[in-house]
Amino acid sequence: MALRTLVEAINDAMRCEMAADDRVILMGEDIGREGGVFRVTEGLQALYGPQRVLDTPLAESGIVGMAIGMAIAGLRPVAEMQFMAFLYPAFDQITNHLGRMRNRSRGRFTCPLVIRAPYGGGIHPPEHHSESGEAILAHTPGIKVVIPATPYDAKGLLISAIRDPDPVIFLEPERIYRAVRQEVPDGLYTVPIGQARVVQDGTDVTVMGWGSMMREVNQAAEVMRSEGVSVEIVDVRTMSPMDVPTLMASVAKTGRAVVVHEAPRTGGLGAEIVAQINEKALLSLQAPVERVTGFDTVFPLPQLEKYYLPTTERVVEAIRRVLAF
Amino acid sequence: MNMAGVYQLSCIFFCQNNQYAISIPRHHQTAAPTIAQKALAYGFPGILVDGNDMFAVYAVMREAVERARCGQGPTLIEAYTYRIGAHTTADDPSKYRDDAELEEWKGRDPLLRVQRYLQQSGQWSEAWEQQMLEACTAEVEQAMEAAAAVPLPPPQDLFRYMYAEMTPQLIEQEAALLASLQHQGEGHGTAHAR
Repeated sequence: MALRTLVEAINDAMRCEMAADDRVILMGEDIGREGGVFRVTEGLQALYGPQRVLDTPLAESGIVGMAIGMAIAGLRPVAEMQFMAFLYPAFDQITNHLGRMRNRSRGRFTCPLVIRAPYGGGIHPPEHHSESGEAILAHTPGIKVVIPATPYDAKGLLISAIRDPDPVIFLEPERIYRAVRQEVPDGLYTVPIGQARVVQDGTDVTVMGWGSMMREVNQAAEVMRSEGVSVEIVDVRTMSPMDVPTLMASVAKTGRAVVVHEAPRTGGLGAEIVAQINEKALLSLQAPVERVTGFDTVFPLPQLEKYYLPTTERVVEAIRRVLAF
Repeated sequence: MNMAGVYQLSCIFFCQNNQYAISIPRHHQTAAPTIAQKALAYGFPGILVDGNDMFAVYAVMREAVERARCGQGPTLIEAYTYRIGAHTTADDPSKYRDDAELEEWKGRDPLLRVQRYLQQSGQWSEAWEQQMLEACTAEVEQAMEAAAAVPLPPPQDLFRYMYAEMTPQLIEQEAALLASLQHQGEGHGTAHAR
């Protein structure tokens, strides 16, 4: 066991899985000698050589296209998109080929690969470095979408993603890359894809979130605890396929729910969760479900970031509203 | 093509340039006089060949295959040809091209050119032509029969090949569809009929 940041946990997952499985190769822009812009792949090219840690041309569509071919041919590629917004040029490959190959070939060709991308806001970058496109990806059939919120989950989920027989998009919250350290085991272990995590048991209200928003969710729950409110916290972790039973069990228990995400509001995964509650837990509800989200705007430049990103205060206000209903 | 050049892949890009998208001609797609020259920018050979000359196409392909086999990297071949027919059954080529252009290219039909070559070199006979036509027709008819004999997929087939294991969402959606079909079947008696 060692204390590790999210970056170090992800690096360790790839290091361990590459040692365990020769088929695992890494590819991406500046990931080799440079170790990636966030240093997530630092030291791995020195360890495993340029044949297994490929510095690619700056061409995301080509990177994912190559990874698809490699996966069909029996490798286990882990491709890095330098930022979530740079994944969009590869979206054609993702939606028109990656998510369809198994179905198109009636199961003959499969794409066991991982696409990693830093995502989300809060690091005061220029444009195109803060996007939260998880709903677009979760809406795409044939792929899985995972977002870790802790170093422990990040390592275990990434190892699961690499071993998964289907394509997994692994979104890494930039804002908390180095924000916290957590005990992370040294060797191989997995955290299953498709399972949400009840972070804290509670009885009065369920607050669901994922990625870097878990910090605001946890802080809001702490504020409410000091006022005698028992908050159940759920980290959704897998966007697709979402662990609906765990979310519904929690809502059925507390009767009140708040969903928090930094992605734009309209068509966000909060809307999907509300729809699931409508179908499966409506009669448990004591109050309408609240969403605390980013806005239907372009992600702002640094000076306006603090207004765009959901804050602990906004989460607290939403919890108060569902309790007061 | 850029990736193929950077990694010197054993790869052949074969462009059958039939000069049209559906209706938009090639000169509206790119200002470059040829497609072949685009390989230059990616750092590997681009070859322009008469796509209606079977022997010329064979010769350049053989060279490209040889380069690929020897690890000498990719090749782009632009086989310059023409789309004699319509793009699809919904397309009307008379809207965007002249008969004169069409007639000129009909004369360059690669099948007729090979036929003329074989006739002039004494390797063609009408009996052989007849025999080939019959054999090919039989083969196509057999393939059509075989295709028509494949059973129609059941509705479950929609869901089977999305993931190695069906997700809970897919299981739920499949059950809902089957229940709906059964319900319709009770009303109309035909939902599952082929």
